Amino acid sequence: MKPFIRFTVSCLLLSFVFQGVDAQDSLQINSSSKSNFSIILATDYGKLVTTAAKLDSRYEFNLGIQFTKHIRFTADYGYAQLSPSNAIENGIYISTGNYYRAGLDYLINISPKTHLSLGSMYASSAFIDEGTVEIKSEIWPSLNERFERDGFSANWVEFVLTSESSIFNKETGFISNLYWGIKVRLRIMIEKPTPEQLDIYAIPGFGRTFNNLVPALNLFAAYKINR
Amino acid sequence: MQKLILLFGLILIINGCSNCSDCEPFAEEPFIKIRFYKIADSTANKVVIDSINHVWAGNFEYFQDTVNTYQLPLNMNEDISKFILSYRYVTDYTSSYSNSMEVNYHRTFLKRTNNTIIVKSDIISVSSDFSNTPNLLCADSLTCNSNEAIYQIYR
Repeated sequence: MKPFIRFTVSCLLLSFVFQGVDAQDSLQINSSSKSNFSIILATDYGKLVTTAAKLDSRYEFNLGIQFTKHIRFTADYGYAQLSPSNAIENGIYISTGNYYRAGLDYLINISPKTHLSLGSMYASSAFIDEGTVEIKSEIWPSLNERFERDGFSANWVEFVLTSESSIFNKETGFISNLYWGIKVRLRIMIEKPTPEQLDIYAIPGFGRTFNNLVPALNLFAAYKINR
Repeated sequence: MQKLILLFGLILIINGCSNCSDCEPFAEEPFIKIRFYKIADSTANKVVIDSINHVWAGNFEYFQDTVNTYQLPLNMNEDISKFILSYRYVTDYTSSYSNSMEVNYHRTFLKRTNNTIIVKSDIISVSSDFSNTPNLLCADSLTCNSNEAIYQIYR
C-alpha cells in the first residue's frame, strides 16, 4: 500500500505545481470564457486489432476527466490473456487477468485540435497463470506437467507521453470531437509475485516480465464530451 | 517537449538488459553418473553397458560419457528410479553381468537462460547390489544435484 500512497501524494504535489503554471499562463494569455471541463472516453484499438487477429486476447478502455486547461485525470481498465510464444521453449504459458490504472496528465496544446501530454499513472493487476511443460525421455515416460496458479497481483507505475489530434478537421458536430493518438509508456515495476519454482513470464497490463523497466506503445481512439 | 521525447527514446534504447535470476546449466533430463573403477588399483574399469532396464543401450543417445562413465537418465514423473544394468568388461567380452540400482531424489523445476524448463533432481540416496560398497560423490556439499552426483563402483 505504501507505494500507492507515495504515488498519490506525488501526483497531488505535481498537480499543485502544474496548477501554478496554469495560473501564470492565464495571466499572460487572455483565455476564452469557454469551460475547460470535458470527459474523454477512449479505447485502445491496437489491442482490439490483436484480439481480432487472434494473436492475443486483450482490450482496454480509458476515461479522462479534464478539469483545467492543462490538468486531466485519467483512469484505465483492461483485460488481457497473454500467451508469449517464447516464454517457455518446451511448453505453453498463459497469463490472464484484469488491470487498472489511474493518474494525472499535464496537457500542452500544440494547436486547437492537437495536444501533447505527459503524465504518470499507478497501475495494479490481478491475474492467474497456467501452462504446460514437456520434457522427452528415451528411457522413462516423457514428462507432461500442467500447472495452474491463481491469486497473483502486481503493482507498477507508468510515465506516459501522449500525442493526440482530431481525426477530422471540423469545428462543430459529432465528428469534431473524435480524436486519435499514440501513447508511449515507460512502466516501472514496484512489486510482483515471485513464486518458488516457475517464474511469472507475463502480467496483464504490464507485459513481459523479463525486465522491471518495460516500454510500451498504445494506439487509441477517443471521443471528447465538452461541457 | 522535444527533449522529453529524446529522453524517452534514450531510456527505451538503454532498456535492453535482462535480469534472469534462476538460470543454471543443467541437462534437460536429470541424470546420475555412474563410474566403474578397478578395485585393485582404483584405475578406470572399462565397461560396455549392453542394456538398461532390458532395453538395448544402443537405443539411448548421450548416455555414455567416457569408457568407464555413464549417465543414467532419472524418471521425471517420480522421486525414484530403478535401473537394471547389463554390462561386460572390455577385457572380457564373453562374460556378462547384471546388477540393479535404485536412486531416490527430490524434483524441482528450473528455467534455463534459453527459456527451457528443465527438471533438477537433488539425490537423497543410491542403493545397489554392486559388490564392494560403492560411493556416492556429490560436487555440492549441501545438495547432490543429479548431474553433479557420481556413483563410484569398484569391482
